[in-house]
Order: sequence, then C-alpha cells, then structure tokens
Amino acid sequence: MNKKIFYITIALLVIASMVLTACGSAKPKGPVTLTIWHNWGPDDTKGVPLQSVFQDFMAANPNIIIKDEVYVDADIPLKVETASTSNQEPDLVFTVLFDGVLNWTDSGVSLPVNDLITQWGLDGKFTDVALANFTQADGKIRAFPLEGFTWPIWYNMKLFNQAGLDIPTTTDQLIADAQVFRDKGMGGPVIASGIDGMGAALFNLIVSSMMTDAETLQSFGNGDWTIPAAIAGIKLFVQLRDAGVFVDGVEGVDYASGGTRYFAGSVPMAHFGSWSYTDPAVSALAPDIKLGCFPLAAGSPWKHPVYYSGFTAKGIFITPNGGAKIDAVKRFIQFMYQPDMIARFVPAGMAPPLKSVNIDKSTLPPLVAAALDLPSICDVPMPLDTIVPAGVGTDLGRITQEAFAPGTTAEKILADLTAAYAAIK
Amino acid sequence: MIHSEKKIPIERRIFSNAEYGQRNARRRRVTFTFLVAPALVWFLSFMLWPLLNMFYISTTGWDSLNMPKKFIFLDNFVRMFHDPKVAISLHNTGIYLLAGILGVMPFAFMLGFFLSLRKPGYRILRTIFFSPAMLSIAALAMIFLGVYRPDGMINTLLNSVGLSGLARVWLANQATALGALIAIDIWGGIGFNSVLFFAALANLPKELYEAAMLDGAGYWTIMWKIAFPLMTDFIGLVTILQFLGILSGAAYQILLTGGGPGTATFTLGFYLYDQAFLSHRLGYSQALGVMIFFIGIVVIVLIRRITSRLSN
Amino acid sequence: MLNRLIRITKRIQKGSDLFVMGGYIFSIIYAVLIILPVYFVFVSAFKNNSQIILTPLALPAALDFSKFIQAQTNVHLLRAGLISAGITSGAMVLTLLLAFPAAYAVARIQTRLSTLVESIFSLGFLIPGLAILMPIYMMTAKAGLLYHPIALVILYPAFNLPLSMILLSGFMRKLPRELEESAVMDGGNVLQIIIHIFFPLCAPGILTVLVLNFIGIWNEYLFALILMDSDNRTIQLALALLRANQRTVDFGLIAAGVVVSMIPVYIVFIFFQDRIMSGMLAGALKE
Repeated sequence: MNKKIFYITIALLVIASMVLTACGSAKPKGPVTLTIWHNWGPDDTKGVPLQSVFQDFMAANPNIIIKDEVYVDADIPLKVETASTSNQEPDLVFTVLFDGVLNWTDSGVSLPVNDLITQWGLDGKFTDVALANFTQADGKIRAFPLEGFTWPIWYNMKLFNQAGLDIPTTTDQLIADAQVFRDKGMGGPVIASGIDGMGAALFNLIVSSMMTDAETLQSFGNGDWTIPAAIAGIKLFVQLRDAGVFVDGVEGVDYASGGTRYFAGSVPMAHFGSWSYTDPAVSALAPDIKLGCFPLAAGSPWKHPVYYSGFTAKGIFITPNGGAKIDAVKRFIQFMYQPDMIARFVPAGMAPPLKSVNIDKSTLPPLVAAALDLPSICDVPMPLDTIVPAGVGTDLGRITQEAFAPGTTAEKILADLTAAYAAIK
Repeated sequence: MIHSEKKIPIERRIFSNAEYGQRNARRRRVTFTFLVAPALVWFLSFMLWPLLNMFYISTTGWDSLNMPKKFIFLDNFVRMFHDPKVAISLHNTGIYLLAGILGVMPFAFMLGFFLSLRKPGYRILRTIFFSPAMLSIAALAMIFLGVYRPDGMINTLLNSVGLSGLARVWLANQATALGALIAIDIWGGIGFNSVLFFAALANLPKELYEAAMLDGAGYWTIMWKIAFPLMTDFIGLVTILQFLGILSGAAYQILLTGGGPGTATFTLGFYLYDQAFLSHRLGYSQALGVMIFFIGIVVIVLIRRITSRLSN
Repeated sequence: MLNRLIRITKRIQKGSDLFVMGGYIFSIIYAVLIILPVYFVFVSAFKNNSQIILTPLALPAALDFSKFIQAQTNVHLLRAGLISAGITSGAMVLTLLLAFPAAYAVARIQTRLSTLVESIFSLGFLIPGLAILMPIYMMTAKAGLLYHPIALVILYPAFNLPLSMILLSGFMRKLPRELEESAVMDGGNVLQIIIHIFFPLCAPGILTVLVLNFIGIWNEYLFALILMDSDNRTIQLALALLRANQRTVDFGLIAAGVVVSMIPVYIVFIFFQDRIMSGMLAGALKE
C-alpha cells in the first residue's frame, strides 16, 4: 500500500512537471521576439515602471514581442557569458557595469554602441557623465547608460539636534562630534557595513577624498600606493576609525542590519545608496533625514564634501543575437530613451542618464527629491568600478574588512594593498 | 527439501565462495559488468570529459569564458608554488579539516549509536538531527548572519548572562572568524553524520548487544568494543565524505566572510571559487582544482589503508 | 552467587542507564541548538526586517501571512516548487535504478573489478561543479534540451551516483553472506536476489540515500541557474529572486520562501522514515 502511494505520487509529480514545462516552453511564432534579461522583478521599485514601458512599447509595435526574464543581478553575468559561448544569449541585457562585464565589449559578448547612438538619433542626448562612465579607454562605448545612482551620507537631524550639533563639514568636526555622541551614550555616529561590499564603498570614498582623480587612478587603478596622497587617505581612514567615528563592531555589520539600526532611528549617520530612497522602512524616518556628503580633511584637493554618483548601476547591453534583430532593437531603444519613458523611473530613485528629462520635484518621494540637490553642494570623486583591475576586487574587499577592524595599522593596509596589486602583475 | 550440491546448475553457483574457483570468476565478471554498466556509463559521460577538461584548462591562461585561451603549459602550477595565498589556504584548510573531522566523527558515532538503541523519542531526535542538512543556502545565510552579527544571537545571549566580555565580532575578528565557520560545519556535521551512522548500525542484529550485555558489558563498552570494530569500513567511508566536503567546500566563506577578514577564512575551496567566478582566472582556478584532486586521492587512499588495517 | 549476579546486573544497568541518560542530555542540548535557528527562520516569516534583527527569537505579534502571499506573487513559488518536485522525484528514481544494482555488484560480487569501479566513482567527489559547468552547458544546448527540466533529471543522477553508490555498497557489505547462498539454494538468479531480498533489507540505507539525493537536488543552485530559464526555474532559483537586488533585503520575505521550500523536504523525510522503518522492522522480525 505504501509502495503504491509512493510510486503514484512520483508519477503524478513527474507528469505535472512535464505538463508545466510543456506549457512553459511554447514559443510565439511570427513577430520578432526580443529576449531581455534583467533583475527588476515585481519586488523592485523599478520593476513596475519597466513593465509599463514594455506594455506601451508592445502596444505601439504590434509586430515586436518582448520576452523579459528576471534573474538575480549577481547571476546575470555568468548566465550571459555561459550562454554566449553557445550563441544562446538573450538579445538585450540590463546589467551593472562592474567586474567581468568590463570585458564584454572586447570579448564579443556585447556590441559597442558608438555607431548606434549616432544612427538612432541619440547623439548628444546622454549626459556627459553617463557616457563617460560607459566609454572604454579605446573610445568604444560599452552600452546604453540607464540607471544613475547617488550614494550620499544620510544624516539623522533629530539625533544631531538632540546632541546640539550641526552637520560636520570637516573631518576634525566629525571627530569632535563623534566624541559628543559617545559621551551622550549614542555610540559612534557612522554606521557602515564593514563586512560586505557596501562598507568598502565608504572606505573608498574616504581614501579618495584625499586624492585627485589622477592620483586615484594611480593608486586604485594601477596599484601605486607610495604616492603621498594615497598614504594620506589611508591614514585619514585609520585616524577616523581610531577616533571612534564608526559604531562599535562596524567590521562585522552587514548592510541589512546596518539599515535596520539606522531606520530604527538610533544612528546619526549612514552611507546608503539611491536604491534605498524608496525602501518602505524609510518612510517613518524620512522627515528627519537630510542627505549630504562626507566631510573633508585638511589637505584634501576637493572643494566640497564628497559622495559617489554615477551611471554604472545599469546599462542596456546589446549582444550579437540582438545585433541580428537590429531593427527591433532600434525601435525598442528609441522608445525606451524617450524622456517621458525615462521619467517613469525617476520616482524609484533612478537618476536619469538623459539631459532633458522633465522632473516635477513635488511628485517625487522626499529623499529622491533631496538627492537632486546634491550635485550643487557636493563633489564627486572618480568611481572605482571601472578602474579597479579584475582580480583585485575580492582582495580589496577583504582588506577593507580588515581596515574597519580596530588595531589594523595604516602600514598594514598599505602593505596588503601593494601586495594585492602586485599579485596580478 | 534437501538440495545437494551436485544438483545445482553451474549458473546458480555464481555467488558462492572461493571454492568454486576460476570457472566462476569469468561468470562473475560478466554479471558484475552487466549490473554496473548503466551507472558507470551514466557517470562517465557527464564526469569524465569535464574532468579531463579540467586538466586541460589548468594548462591555459584563460581569463573568462569568452576570452581566448592561451596555452601556457605548467605556468599555472609554477605560480601556485610561489603563491602566498596557496600556502595560506592550505594552512586554513588543514585547520578546518582537523577540527571538522575530530570535532564531528567521534560525537556523530556516539550519537548514532545512541539513536540505534531506539530509545523512546529517537525518531523525533533523528529528524531534528538531520535538519541542518535540509536547510538550503538561503536559510543558512540568514541564520548564521543572525547568529554571528555584532548584535546577533550569540552576543545578545552572552550579554544577557553577564558574559559580555566574551562577546566578539565573530565573523570579522581575525582570531575567531575561521573558528566561527568551522563551528557551523561541526553543528551540522554531527547531526547529519549521526543519522548516517544510525542507518548503518540499525542493521546490526539486536542479539549481538544482548549477548554482550549478558556477559556483563554496559552500553559504553558495547559501543566501542562491538559496534565500532564492526563499523570501521563505514566510519572510514563517512570520514572520507566529510573530508572531501570540507576540502572543496566554500559555501560559508562565500555567504558570510568572503575569505576575510584579511585571509583568515581563505581556504582551498574558496580560492578556487574566487579565481573562477570573482577574479576571472579560470586557468588558474582549474590548476587549483587539479591540486585539490590529487590531495583528495592521497587522503582517500590513506583513510582506506587505515581502516583496512584497523579492521584486521 | 545470585546476589553477586544481581549486583553485577544492577551495576551494568546503572552503567547503561547512565549512558542512556547521558545520551539523552547530550541529544536534548544538541537538539535545542538545532531547533533554535530553525525556529528563528520560521518566526521570521511573520515579521518585518527590524523585528527580525532586533528581536530575532520573539514570537511574532500576529500570524501575518502577507509575506507568504508576496513570495508567491513575486516569483511564483508554488510553480517553482512543483517543477522542483518533478525534477527531484525523477532524478531520485533514476539514481536509485542506476546505483542499486551497481552497489550490489561492487559490494557482493567477488571480483577484482570491484575496487577499480569503486575508485572510479570516488573520483566523482573530487570534481568541482564549476569545472564541468561549461561542458555540460554545451552538451545540453547541443542536445536541444536547454531550459527543459528533463535536462536536470538526466544530469543530477550523474552527480549523485558517487555518494549513493558508495553509501549503498557500504550498507550492503554489512549483510551476511548466507543471504545469497540461501537464495541460490532456492533457485534464484541475480535480479531476483536483488529485488526480493536485498532491496527490502537495505531499507535504512536506501532511505538515507534517497533523502540525501532529495536534499542535494532540491537545494542545488548552480546548474539549475545555468540550464533553466525563468519559466522553468526551480525552487532555489525562485528563492534567490526574493531578494529584489543585491542591496536591499527583506528577511521576512526570504524566510517565508525558505519555510515554503523546506516543508516538502521535511514531509519527505518524515514520511519515508516512518514507512520504511516499519517495513524494515517487519522484515527483520520475519528472519
């Protein structure tokens, strides 16, 4: 009796799965199908606008069908690269410009879009920063820039007021503020996720705040850690850490718990990106939050406090398969990059890559609107995504983690960095 | 009915003892091949070529799936020899193996023996003990971040009983990071292996124990003097499994520490993953794979030798 | 004399009782250490992020099933579960069909080929999954089975054969030689012996191997990721998607997904252990 049930259940399950997959793999015939891989699923704030763009596009272009598939963003490069070796890749890929993706243009996984921009009437429509982010050293443009991000410092004004302090504009002020916060039992003011890549961004920001872009290229890009500005940057970081500017145990904090603590209203400063502007946990705290940038130390070449912003968060890549359907792709790209289509994504926190997008600030969520003011009050150091050579990235992550831990000296950090870059030569 | 030997046809004496001699050896081999062939063919079709491929790619300088391959002979292996990270990973993996096997096997065996006594509640205990093995990666990541966070369960517990001096930033502290990961493997390994031991011990006839108890032996003695010797082969097997799992394992490093802080949790398995997926040096990662392969073979042979000597 | 015997028996009983008591104590402590984290995941499915992080072990304020519903609508969790169930059962049956006869041959047939074959299968453990990712993708694409769950049903047994083979043959070696001899006396051939005698007797071993295979396949991620598309995603792929992007995490949502994905695993384990255990005991009693 038991064996029978067992066998019947198995048979049913196998049949069920086959039926499902048979239904799933039916492909529409006739019109051109554009396969698009992205990670903006129903849960993502940009997922709804994206689907609306797809719907409107298909309504306007009845002979083109968009088959979009959602995958985890970290998995997309591997899937695309594997598929590419058997010519099974999708037509368009929405992915972050980072790490392995930097090789796509050279290895043929994606096609350069210089000519397409000109031919499709998009010349001069993109902002300079957006295009620059996607342009290789040899002049080829990797993809169509899509998602702009900002990564400011979030100041909890309620806590600052409680402590009787203003937003610090110099690191000396920050150190003094940290002491005040600690004396009042509020702990170190800055929370960062020392244990994962999000904390590394703060490390990079602080170190870069002491360097010009050329010097950042020399150090983070080429591994020369003997230049005085780079040493000054590392020393600044260690000084801040030892002065108690970070929360205790910062080296073990992860992004999620850092966010939770900040949104619970117990931490004065955090380093979060624009993807969190519309996080539901934010809404209660939003009135107290003021977006700003990281203060400068004496000797810094920058004029204003610094923050990261750029367009590498998402680009639309065209693959050889997409190249074979170039007409359909052209229609889609032209449709997508109309200002009012792009405008649909702005309330989700995305900074538009186009020059002329009409944004009605009053309709935007508070933090999204506040972020629009940042460029006028802050400076942007060179982002590291495109200059750190492949092979050093994970080492950098581990070194940063160690850097957040108390007791790590500046000398050790510099030695580790030098060794990491030397290892790939 | 009495069957005399002479009446049984030759085909039906296939499985008898050595006294049936050479004639049956060929017969046995035929049956053997027939039974084993499907599994062998299946296995080899999917594993053989990729294995050979691994050896081949380890001699190339291949950066990522779509970049061209450059044949560089044994350069990868020379590089491995001088690579400080290899020495570090060997060191860390060695510690991991020692703790992961010594901390699991004895307890798993004892627990498995206890379960096999089938005392009341043993079924529930067995399900509970097997639970860690049933958790998927997503669940494990969530759980152990929640356990090891600076404000996580361990530290909260220590604080609440007044032992806050012992609280650490477990995953980010050089001294405790590796231990924290090993603890996860021990936590899951004891339960998982105890159920395996149960399955093997459950087949032993009860009379074995009863006879010993009549002679005046307690459970502890029975466990080590009777069950253990009978299980030596199986223990060796399970140890090999545990060993290989740790040798090539990288899951917790990937989920929780990224090999850090510094290189505290940098192990062989993680180095292979890092070079293949994160640092885009496929050729080198396959060279590491080759090294892991040979280490594995050596240890399997070693463990087999030890257990066969023990069981004689 | 009798008194002495009684004293010895009492001492043994005490020793054995001590052992059993010790066993229970250790078991219960260990069980608690396992239950707590699992409980944590379970209650987290009803909480929001801040509750999960600040009060991980507290009971949820109310049984709010919204996360479960959200998990289902976002990634079609149930469909993924069904696909996984189909793939897993198919692959499990196939693995057993392949491994059982082979394990029998290796364990019970006296020939020099046994050790050779066993060694070949042992090598299977040493092949990192990554190494075979590309070749297998190409093979699947060439066979026209890309994105079809059948591809996984065919592939997974190859991965599971080493473990299943080695465990099964390990279990089988323990059984007494006389089994075959008596069967031969009764006039049986190989297949009959395997099916009627060994299969029921190896029940605990088969159970273990089945459960291990189930877990391994159910939780497998890498090959399911590469060989399946979004219409045919398995449950682990669906789970991974619950995390909208790598930067924001809704732990409650993930916990809800994990709970849903673990229910079948528990059911399989509990269902199997009861059924086959009683079958095995009945078989043992007959002997």
